[in-house]
Amino acid sequence: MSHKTQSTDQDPALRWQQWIDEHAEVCFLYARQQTRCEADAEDVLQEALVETWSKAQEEVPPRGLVFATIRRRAIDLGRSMDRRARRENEVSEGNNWFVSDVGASDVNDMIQVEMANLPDDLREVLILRVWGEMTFPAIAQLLAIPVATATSRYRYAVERLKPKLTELQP
Amino acid sequence: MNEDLSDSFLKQLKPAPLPLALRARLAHPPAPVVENIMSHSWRERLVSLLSIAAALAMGLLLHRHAGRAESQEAEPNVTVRHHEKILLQSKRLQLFEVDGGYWELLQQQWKEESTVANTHSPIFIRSSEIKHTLVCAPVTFD
Repeated sequence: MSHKTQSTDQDPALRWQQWIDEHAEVCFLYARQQTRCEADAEDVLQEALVETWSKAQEEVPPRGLVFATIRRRAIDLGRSMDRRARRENEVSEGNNWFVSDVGASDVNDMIQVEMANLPDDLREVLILRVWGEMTFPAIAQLLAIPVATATSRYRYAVERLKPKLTELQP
Repeated sequence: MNEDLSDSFLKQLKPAPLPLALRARLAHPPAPVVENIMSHSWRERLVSLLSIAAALAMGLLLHRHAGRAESQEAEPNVTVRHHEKILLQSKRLQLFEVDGGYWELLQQQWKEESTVANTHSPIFIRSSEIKHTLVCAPVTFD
């Protein structure tokens, strides 16, 4: 995990803005997986960013801490049983999780749908690993699971996505 | 496609940008931590003070309530106007000697009469009660 904004000499507002620019999008992607709807995800993300920033004082908070705070706050907010159904509805309603760099405009949509169909625990590990750039031990610590479980969840997630990815691979 | 290729392919997908409204909400950093800590501790202190105040108030109320109950018991609403104790009978049950002296065990019958008046109304209550007591008294020979 890289933290480019480490300088404590800069203006706090500037450091905050750099931190938001570098990390907020990935954190928002994670928050979307943890909450029932977009509005909840936005609220949880804002609260988590403010909380971790305030606690970190002069330091830039590690991304893992932000993920952990998002997770805790989402649990506090209460995840309802129909979370997945709502998410799938939102996917179809056009709340895009990704911006595609691979050229085809529908690639991200297809992967997003495939990811939405993954079980929650697999998708969570996949996001933390691929976009959160967390190590498996860090993921295991965050989710309070064994490292082997984190690794296997990631592998299962990739296995589930592989047919679609192979199809999309140029 | 192996795992690494899948991983690198997925990484090409960048998370979507923040919605404009959310970005606007995150435009400014939170208040300085020192202020946050102060306000937080101030809130905690206020909550603890309120808890203490509530406990004190509750204690005071209970104390007052108990005191009122006690004062009601201590200040009866009647006054004793007349009280008389009359010995009706004294009957020796036993005479015994202890260290050269004589003692007698007496059974006495008393009549207690009393008149009480209510302080709030012109009501008088007369009562009469017969009591039996056992008394151990030295025997004197005049």
